Amino acid sequence: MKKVTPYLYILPCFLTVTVFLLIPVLYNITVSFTDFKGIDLSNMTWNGIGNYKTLFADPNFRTAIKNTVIFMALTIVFQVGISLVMTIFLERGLIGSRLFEVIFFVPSVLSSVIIAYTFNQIYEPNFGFLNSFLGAVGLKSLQHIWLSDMRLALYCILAANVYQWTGMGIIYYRAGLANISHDVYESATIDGAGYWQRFRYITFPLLKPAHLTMVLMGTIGTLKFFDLVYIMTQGGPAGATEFPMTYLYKRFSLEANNGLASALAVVILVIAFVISALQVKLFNRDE
Amino acid sequence: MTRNWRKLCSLLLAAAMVGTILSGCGSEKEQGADTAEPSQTAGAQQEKDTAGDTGDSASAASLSFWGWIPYNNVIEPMTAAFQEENADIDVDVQIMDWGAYWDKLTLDLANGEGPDVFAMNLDNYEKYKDYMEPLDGLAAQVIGDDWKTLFNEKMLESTYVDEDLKIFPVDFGGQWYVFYNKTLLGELGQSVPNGYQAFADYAKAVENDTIPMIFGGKEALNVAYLYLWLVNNQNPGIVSKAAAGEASFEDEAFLKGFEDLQKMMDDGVIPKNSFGIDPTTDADSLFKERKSPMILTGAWQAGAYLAGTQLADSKIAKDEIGVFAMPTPINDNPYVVGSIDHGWAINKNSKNKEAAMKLVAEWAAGDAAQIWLEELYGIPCAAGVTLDTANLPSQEAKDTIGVISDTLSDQLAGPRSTGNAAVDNKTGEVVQAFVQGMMDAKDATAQMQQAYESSK
Repeated sequence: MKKVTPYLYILPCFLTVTVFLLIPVLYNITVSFTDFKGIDLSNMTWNGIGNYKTLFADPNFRTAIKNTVIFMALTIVFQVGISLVMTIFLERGLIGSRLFEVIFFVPSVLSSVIIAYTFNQIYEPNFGFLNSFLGAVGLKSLQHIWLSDMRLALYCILAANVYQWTGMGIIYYRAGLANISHDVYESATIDGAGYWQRFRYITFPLLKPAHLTMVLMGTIGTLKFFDLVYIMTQGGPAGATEFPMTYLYKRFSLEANNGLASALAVVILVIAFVISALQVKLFNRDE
Repeated sequence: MTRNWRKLCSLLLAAAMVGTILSGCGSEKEQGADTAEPSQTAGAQQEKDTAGDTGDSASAASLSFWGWIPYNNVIEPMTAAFQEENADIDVDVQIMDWGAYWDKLTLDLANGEGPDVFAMNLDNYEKYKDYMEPLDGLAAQVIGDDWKTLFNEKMLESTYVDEDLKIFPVDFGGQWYVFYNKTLLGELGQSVPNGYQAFADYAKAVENDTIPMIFGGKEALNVAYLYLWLVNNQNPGIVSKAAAGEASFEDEAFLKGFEDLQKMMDDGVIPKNSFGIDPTTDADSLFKERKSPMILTGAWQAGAYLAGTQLADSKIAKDEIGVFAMPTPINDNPYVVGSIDHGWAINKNSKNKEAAMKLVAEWAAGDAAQIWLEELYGIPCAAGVTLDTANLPSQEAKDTIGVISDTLSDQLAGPRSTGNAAVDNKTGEVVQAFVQGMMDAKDATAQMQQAYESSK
């Protein structure tokens, strides 16, 4: 009984993970090797790696991967950078810092739908805030059809994403800063270290766990990025803001090409595993 | 003893958790419980588990209906109209938003479940056709051999796909129509343009004062439909032929369609900011806010704008609204594109098909159809339904509403899309690239043809 009891305790969790995670993933992998279209399961026939060939030959998929890489890199840079700078300032105990913390955190608890619709209105070309502001200050030449400009749309969505999640980064960095002993700073000050030296040699390195969290969240968040981009541009214009999840949604929901959509899901799963493992290894290497 | 008691409690809790998880895997019918979505009923009971019931017996049945339309304020009188003649048939109605509807329908039909009757349109026909009951035989059995006389012959014919009828059509929708605000035009010192050149002149005259015409060009599919309509005006029916493999997407009409689109942009008829306007949310708001005297959209807005069903509390509630068919650069009397906008389908797994047929017949061609279409001001497919235009709020609306039914009857070039989702999506992408100068017409049409080849 003693040997069995621990397994009974983990049984509910194991069942949940198996039923709602493992089995669907295995089913998805199976479907990715079939030509399943529509919703009738009897229409499924094996077609080997045909879906994977189609996927990697599709320029829209390659664009989605390229956008993911660019978006991931810029999201991490901006979110880490802005979060860290804001945290440092807020830590100084300036008047109103608690209020500002709340204000910066609010977007991260709002629904992505609200954020997307808000930014849609900001970017609206006829009466939106951004173009209206540019017109009012005499910068009419800078007005654009922001979300329908193939060169700018991706960065417009990036701005909305950074706005939404920077507050969360502040929380992570605040927790990280709280874990750094003040004795370390005192010793450094006694030894003559200036502000930037303390930041560069103490604060930044000791915030490594928070950096890892931010990088991992940014990476995985970008790989499954869907809601903001779908509401704002639906992956357009002309695929300029296509992401793997918008590509998957179109193939699955609009075109009922379940086999191809499943193949993409498998590819994203593999990429997510590899990137996460590499990042954790990289961060732990120095330790 | 205490330790054994703790172990026992833990085991019981673990068993309860497992049981809860497994019970969540049951189907709605097995549970016989309320569904998650709110249910709209009109004196109806909850859907019963019909296993072992009289099945196809029409004398006591319970039907379930799912749809994204009609709106809740209309579904109740429609259901009441049906139950006047069929008091022994209960109807449980669920109206959901567009996205949730298709997701739920897909999951349930794939599991062999789903409602007895559901709303359907031709755009989604291909995906769900294997789950819809063929209606010819059932209609003859339940309604009578002359059931086809209930409908407009041409519209009923266009609902057949591969010689199968699986949707009872309700209304016929089409594009592209310009709903205009005559009151606002007058304030701008303008009159309703007649013909493409007059339209281009009007656009130039007002471009500094207002948006000449609102068009929701942000959505790729909407842009695709506009382009395909231009192609159909170059060569009526060519889009359907290309979609059937009888022509090529690289034919001249498709290339000239891009020329027409470019001309419309150059003339300011389609302002470049249009491609930043969302057709679903922004376009309608901008028109109702009097940001433009014109909006380019589909016939489905006739009820909203001409009959004013969606204008209460808006800034244009008291304005005179009219409609005309959008001219093209080569055609002042243009072809329109359209198809059955929506209809009712019967689940092939339904255990109450005869009762379901009575419901779809009433809702498609009976008093209920009249109720629904007076709300929508759609073009009815039923022979016995005529819309009373005397109650339209403005003289301009009364004078012009007929153009929709006239053009759909006499100047129909084909459906608005290719019927192939992959080609439609690709068309939207390449047209968006074209309007930004990132792709030329030849490349665009080549990609459309390639999308068609890949989808076969």
